[in-house]
Amino acid sequence: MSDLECQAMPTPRQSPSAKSGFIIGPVYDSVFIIGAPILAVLIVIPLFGLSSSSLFGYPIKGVIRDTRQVFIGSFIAAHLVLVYFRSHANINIFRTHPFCFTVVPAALLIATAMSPWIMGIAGAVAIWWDVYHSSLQTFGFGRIYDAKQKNSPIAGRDLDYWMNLVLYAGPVLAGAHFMDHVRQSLEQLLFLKASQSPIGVLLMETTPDFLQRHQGYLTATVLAFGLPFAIFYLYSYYCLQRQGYRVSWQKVWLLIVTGSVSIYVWGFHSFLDAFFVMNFFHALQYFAIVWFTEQQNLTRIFRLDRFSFGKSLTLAWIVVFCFLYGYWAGYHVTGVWGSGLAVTTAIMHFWYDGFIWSVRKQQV
Amino acid sequence: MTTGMSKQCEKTESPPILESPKNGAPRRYTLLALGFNLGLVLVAISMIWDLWFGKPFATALERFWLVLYSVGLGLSAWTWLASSTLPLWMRRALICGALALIAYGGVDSAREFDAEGQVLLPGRIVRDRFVHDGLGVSFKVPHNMRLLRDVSVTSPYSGQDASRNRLRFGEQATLFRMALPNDPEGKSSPIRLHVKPFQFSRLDVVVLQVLNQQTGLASQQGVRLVRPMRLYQLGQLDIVEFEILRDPKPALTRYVYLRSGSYLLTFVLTSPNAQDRALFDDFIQSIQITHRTTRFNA
Repeated sequence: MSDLECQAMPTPRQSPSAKSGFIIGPVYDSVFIIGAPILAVLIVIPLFGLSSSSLFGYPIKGVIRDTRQVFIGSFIAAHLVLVYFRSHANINIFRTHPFCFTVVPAALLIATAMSPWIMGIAGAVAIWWDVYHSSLQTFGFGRIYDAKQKNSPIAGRDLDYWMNLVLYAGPVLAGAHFMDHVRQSLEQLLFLKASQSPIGVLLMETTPDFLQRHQGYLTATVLAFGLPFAIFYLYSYYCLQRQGYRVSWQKVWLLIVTGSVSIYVWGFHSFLDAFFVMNFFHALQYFAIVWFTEQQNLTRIFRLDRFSFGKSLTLAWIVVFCFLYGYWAGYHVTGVWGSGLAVTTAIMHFWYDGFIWSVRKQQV
Repeated sequence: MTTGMSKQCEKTESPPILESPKNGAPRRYTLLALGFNLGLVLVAISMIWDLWFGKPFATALERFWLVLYSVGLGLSAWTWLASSTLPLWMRRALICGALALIAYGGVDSAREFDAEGQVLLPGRIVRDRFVHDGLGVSFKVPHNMRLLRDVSVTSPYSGQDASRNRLRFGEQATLFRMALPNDPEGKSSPIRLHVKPFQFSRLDVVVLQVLNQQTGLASQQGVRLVRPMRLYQLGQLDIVEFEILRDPKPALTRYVYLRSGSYLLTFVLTSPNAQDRALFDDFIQSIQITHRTTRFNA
């Protein structure tokens, strides 16, 4: 292999606890990855159940907002921009897909800013892609845990893919908040209704009515597929184990915790509570993995590699600027360029995450 | 997971993208690093100031904020580029480009801030048209009406400053009233113009806000929605409007929303005669907005 190939290959970090099967370490993994969904429930549910929202009112651009929602919402939006610290700030990753990291986001930014149609479609796509992408984050962590056990990167891959969709997207499609997702995504194209477009009527009135009437079928389909698949999944892994596959208990716990929390919040809490819990732990896991994999590179980027406090200050900068972005994107953005940037960042986050953390290419 | 290939790669450090202080001037690198992080401190302070507390009202304070932000951006851009390993000519070109862009942005922001300070000025009549230079808007005043220049501001904030000349987010100004011969004080002004800062991120957010207002009005007792919200273009103007009818004393009211630069304008046209739609249309046709952004999606 030539030096050039070597440089183009991302260098996997060697964790001292790799042999233990953890990605980073027992405590770090237990808190920020495997236990993150429980942590999110423990933080978000009591926070919103504490007292009346009037105590937390704060005016933003003349509108009274609930500071709890603002905090969680900013944190969620903050993790979206974090992807650039992996995709663009890591030269090894950047070199793998330079076209995707330059031309595509620039084109999408311009297109969303110029066309309300593209802006609306991108906004609607982002809502559903978010659900899919969040499912696959858990899938990704599971695959890394499998790799830590030296299992083949393809063993059980399809099983994990579908299992994570069932656990994460299943409750969204089958649950009471499916219509909230539908309405939220169709609102992105509200201008079509105002301009008396027949497509607007189709999207704003006919489609939600149809989906609401037939949601029972969707719920039945998800359950009819999900329950037998769970049994098939367990049986398949039993067979794989007999063929030499080594079970990663970290992955098992990750799936149990994530699935339980997903069913619990989507099934038994309000849309807002469920949305905040699911996205909070997703963002927390993302901050954890990005900081773990990129800390040395980012310390150099922030020119702090020669200082003893360099890593701590770099982490502080990442948190501060990501939060500022999240707060701006969530509550302050004005104008189509700002809005286009926010939508483009969300779409790029969902898209890039599909190929910048490849276990098969040993990028993690 | 480690393979032979990745082990081989680990021996080769990832390509340095920054100037290493090992062989060069460590003091220079340290100074540039400190400069870069000082710039970030200034940027973070000015961003927090802007996002949490809003831009200041007083011009001197706004200029201070702008200088803080621009110096922070300029310092961090300059020091970061200067400490990179890019070829010297490219570093110089990028530094010049970044500083020019920051200076341009600063001047543009100051100009916009000054223009926004004209919004509460009273309009004037030129021939038969009402002209408001601060908003860049003008329209034809119907022949039987008299203009009462009576600027008032409604604010959700306590402790309003009476001497101020600009609007904060959430505040709304009414720029005038129109008096009829039978209503010399203009209490039931047939034309009103409300102005508030344009705070929308995109077209569908504007439409959603108007839809909410329409729903709120239509749900009131004695109010009927006679023409639901519609979005259309009239020349260079984007317009969203809807119409309601109030009973039992009939009054046809049309709410017309337009954009003029940093402001959202709402014309409220009222008539006791349901046949006055044509007059409303004529009035809307006469509205002109010059030298301002009029597209909602811009």
